[in-house]
Amino acid sequence: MKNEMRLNFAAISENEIFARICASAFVLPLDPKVNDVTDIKTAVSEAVTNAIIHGYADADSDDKFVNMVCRYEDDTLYIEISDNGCGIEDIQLAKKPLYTSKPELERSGMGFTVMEAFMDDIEVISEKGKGTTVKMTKKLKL
Amino acid sequence: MKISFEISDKTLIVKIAGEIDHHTACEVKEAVNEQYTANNCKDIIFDLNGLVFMDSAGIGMLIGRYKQANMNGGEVYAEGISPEIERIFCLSGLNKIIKRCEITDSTEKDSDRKGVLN
Repeated sequence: MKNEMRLNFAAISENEIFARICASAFVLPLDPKVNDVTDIKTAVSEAVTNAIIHGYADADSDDKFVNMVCRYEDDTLYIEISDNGCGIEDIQLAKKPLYTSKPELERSGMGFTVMEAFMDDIEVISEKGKGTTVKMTKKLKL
Repeated sequence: MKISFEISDKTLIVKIAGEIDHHTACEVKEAVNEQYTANNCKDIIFDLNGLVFMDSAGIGMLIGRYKQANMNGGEVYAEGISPEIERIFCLSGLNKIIKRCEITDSTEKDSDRKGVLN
């Protein structure tokens, strides 16, 4: 079975719950295991939060949107979360466990670590001043 | 997310139901700080029986509360962690700094609770 959905929403923290619930609802036709749903929700929450608090940290405009594409083919789920924000200068550093560019916000620096642990594969594409795209894949236990 | 407080001796009991993400973690942080300071508390117990989701924002928030209690000579305990949330606790090393306790009944006597904590 093949399916796809695209979502574009304002980069505000209220939409973190909206995004993860949409992603989990999208996989429901596959009758996924509870653990897999939790993993997907958590990984989406991390990526969307990063877009909101890091991608658009210094942006003044009202045109701050996060884009989410979810797609599955048989038992494999692909999720892409992108922003048009400031981009990540050093992706390796950003991925380092416990590293945070915003310690004053009580951030744990575990966002990418959680995405890596809960999904099978994660790819980060980023360009300074242009934005960031996080691509994640997970094979569901159906 | 719903948050409620109980104070027993100098222990602040924080009951959280719903989901902790970056958005709600900010609310939890502010509410706990206010109660902790206003009531001159020492230890903090998080009752997470009603918590259904937590991401890394919850890790940051709990580490923040651990630092706060520690500066005051207190400890942070957690109770009612579901298997899903347990994975986030293990992954982040929160297990090493947040102790576990059991609250069977919120109306139990202080002496009983102290017995569990010790």
